[in-house]
Amino acid sequence: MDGRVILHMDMNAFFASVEQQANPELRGKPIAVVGSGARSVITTASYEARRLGVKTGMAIWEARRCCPQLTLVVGDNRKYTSTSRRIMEMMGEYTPALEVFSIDEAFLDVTHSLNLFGSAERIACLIKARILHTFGLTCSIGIAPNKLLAKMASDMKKPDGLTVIQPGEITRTMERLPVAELCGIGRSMERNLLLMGIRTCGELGRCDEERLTRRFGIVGKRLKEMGQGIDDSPVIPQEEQEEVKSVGHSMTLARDILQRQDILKFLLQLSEMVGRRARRYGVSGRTVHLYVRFADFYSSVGRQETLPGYISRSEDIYRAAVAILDTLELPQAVRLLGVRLTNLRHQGEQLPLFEDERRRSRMVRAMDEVNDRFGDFTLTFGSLLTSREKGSQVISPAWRPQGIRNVDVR
Amino acid sequence: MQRHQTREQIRVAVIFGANGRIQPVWFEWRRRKHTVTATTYRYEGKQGDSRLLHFTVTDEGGLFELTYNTHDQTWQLRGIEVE
Repeated sequence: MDGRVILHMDMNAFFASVEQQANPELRGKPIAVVGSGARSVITTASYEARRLGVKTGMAIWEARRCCPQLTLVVGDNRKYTSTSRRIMEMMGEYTPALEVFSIDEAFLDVTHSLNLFGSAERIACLIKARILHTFGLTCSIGIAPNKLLAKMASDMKKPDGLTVIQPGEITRTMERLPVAELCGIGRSMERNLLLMGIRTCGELGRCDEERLTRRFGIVGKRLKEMGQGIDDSPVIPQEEQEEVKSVGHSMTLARDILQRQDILKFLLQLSEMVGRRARRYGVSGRTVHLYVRFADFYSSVGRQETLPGYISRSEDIYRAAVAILDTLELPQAVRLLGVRLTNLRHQGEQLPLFEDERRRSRMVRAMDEVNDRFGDFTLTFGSLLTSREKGSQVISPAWRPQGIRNVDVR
Repeated sequence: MQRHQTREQIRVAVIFGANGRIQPVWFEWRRRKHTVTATTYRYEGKQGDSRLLHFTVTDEGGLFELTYNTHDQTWQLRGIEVE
């Protein structure tokens, strides 16, 4: 293959496969991984369950209707993040150009590794064999001249696939492929393209660029290129990625709440999670965002406040979040709360001028040291002592194995 | 199968392999010795600055999660799934 050689690795039904590997009783059976909360939906389903119609995001009752023999397993996020971290480390041995795309997907630019390992196919086989040997898990790998095509190729054969798209095969491959197969084309875009009479990538690639630009603006040019299988985007290793622009946490509550006191408890917990992460990575921010989703699931409100100075202490974030809360009308009970710190700068706390402030800073530092040593929330605010579940319960799509995006999950 | 979560300090016999790999061989729980028939999964975690090694193991009748705290060198039984 001339030019760039990109691999896309996609773990097969990752969470469900890990659970099936850990528990031999579950192997070969339809299982679904769910969260621990009462409102949980299907996080992922095994291939056996998928064949019977169980899909990610389904309500549990819905999944059971498709598949009455479905076994539900409460997910163990630490198991998945730990496994993902080790898989990504393994892949980093084949090229430093490794872009972790999500907990179970990564791009590798192996263009400059071919001399060492022979061929892209050999690298793919080595990766697949090592993952299978170490964890008993399978993955699908796509090999192509760019990220767009490599991702498409990895989707073509699942589970345990290896698909190569050679440069000379691109036009033929794209010709009859539905546009929805392209990464970045969602349902809404698919509908819009259908209204224009475009169903396949071949049709998209041949479409007049002006027509696409009239309809979709600057995205039009990109869409045409996607239809032609063109993608110049580089594989960006984590250390070269843009600096993180925000630090945030949100949580879906176990039950809807309306009482201010209850809301404040969760805000304090979220502020501590945001503050801890900001302080750990030496960032502070000037803008605090509060996001509230209501009991009906569909309505929500979000507001932000920019402060005169940079903050990273949990109590300062909390105070700003409460100030925002007090400007909001809550027409119904709260289902989800989120707190985010933006407008970041990479500098820790400034040395406070006054003794009272200095004492507060020392206290925060002391709390952080205890929690670094014994685990988050070991030492925390008195009003949080009665809270049963503390800390991040879900793996965000932005989770990465290292750096500020690496959130310890429970 | 019923799954229970617990936090019980237990005694575990292990083989420390030449490659640094730890292999639980048997463990004592409720005054009974359970012989490990297979280690089905292993992963690492952290609790503060302690490194935790988690092992999912089977005996003749159940599935157990054993956790080794490398900092204080203790073993805990964290999960049980038995008929």
